Amino acid sequence: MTQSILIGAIILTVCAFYGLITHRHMIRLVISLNILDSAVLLVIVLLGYREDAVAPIVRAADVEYVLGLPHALSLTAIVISACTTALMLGYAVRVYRLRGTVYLDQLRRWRG
Amino acid sequence: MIYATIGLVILLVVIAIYAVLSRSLVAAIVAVGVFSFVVSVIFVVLQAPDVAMTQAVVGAGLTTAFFVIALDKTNTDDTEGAE
Amino acid sequence: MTRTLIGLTVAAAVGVLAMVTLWGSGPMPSATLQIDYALRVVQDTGAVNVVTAILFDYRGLDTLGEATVIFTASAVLAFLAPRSHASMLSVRLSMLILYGIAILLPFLMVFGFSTIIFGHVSPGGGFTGGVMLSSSVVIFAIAYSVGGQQSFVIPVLAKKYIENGAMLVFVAIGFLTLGTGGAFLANAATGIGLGEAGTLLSGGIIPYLNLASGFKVGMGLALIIISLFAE
Repeated sequence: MTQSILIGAIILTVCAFYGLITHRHMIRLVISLNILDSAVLLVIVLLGYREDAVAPIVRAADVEYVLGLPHALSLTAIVISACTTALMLGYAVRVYRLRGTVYLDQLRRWRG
Repeated sequence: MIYATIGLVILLVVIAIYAVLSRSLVAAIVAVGVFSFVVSVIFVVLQAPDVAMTQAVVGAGLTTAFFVIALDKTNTDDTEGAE
Repeated sequence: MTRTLIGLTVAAAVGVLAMVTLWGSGPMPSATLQIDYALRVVQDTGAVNVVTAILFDYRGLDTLGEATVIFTASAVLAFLAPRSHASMLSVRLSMLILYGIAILLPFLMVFGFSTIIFGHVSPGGGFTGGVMLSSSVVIFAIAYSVGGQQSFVIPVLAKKYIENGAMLVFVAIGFLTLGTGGAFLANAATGIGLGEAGTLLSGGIIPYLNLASGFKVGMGLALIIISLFAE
């Protein structure tokens, strides 16, 4: 089970990099970055997983719990990724207001 | 349980490939929302309820709203092919 | 066409690199670590939820830095979008959606607050509950956005004051613990009563930090999305 999720995360990374290189639409780039983010979070949470362990909320002494530290780190990472997504989209909208396009190809010829 | 997890991972990969390769931008945005939801289900399988709750609310709710608002503000063509 | 080829090549290279890294990185973190956390977390912090205890006690300064990131993002977005000419979404929703949201919204806010308040005894916490609060604000804004800024649940200026106030409360709690002889954002070392683990008033300063960061995150994300609306 762990192996299958690891392989899935690697395929998601490949997908995200393919999208980042081939697309020139800003919103599509942000979509690819979101997919990359989720792949990294899957690997981080997988680090703390143990077979036959339960969620890290302490109820009794003789139960085995999964490691809670990767959960705390990925919790902050999720909220920060929402902020950075909003910031990137805000810049995209701003560029559209100023230049009338969201394609990076047409932004190359920047005058002045 | 193992087969269910493998099925979830396959679903995840298919949705991600569709989100990257689809020609319609609206379809890609909706696919990213569904993608976040499947990721949160995998977090539940991995015994991480806190991360799953946050990912469900942020990924499937807020981020999709951000994308929809940005799409509405930029008024770009639905399909790709301006290159 | 060449771009597709370059994309395929780079993506394959990244995939091989990730595979080599992940399989060559040796064993996972030490197996005794999670037993250690489960044994010590209740005595150290009085909280039952290990994730909340790590976020608000062991790594409280880290959480303060993350709140700063949200603050910076909302400030930059507010700077990008001057609120003088606000334009709303160009959609018209049906009556069914409007009344459905009116019924749903109180339950969503109550669920967000309960997630914040019970963050140290059950899954949840300040971040999750704060995002739920902000998503209720977002749903309200999308549904009833016709009237401009005045029709949101809480006025924009009040949101700003709540956000800054919650941030100040967080820092003030840190300085209070500093004044009682402990470190910045220390919990048990200050001599505060930890209470009985598993009850609502347990965990020392953790519930108050939970409340502060919940308001901070909720109002910060709501400000971010309203700035995006007004762009």
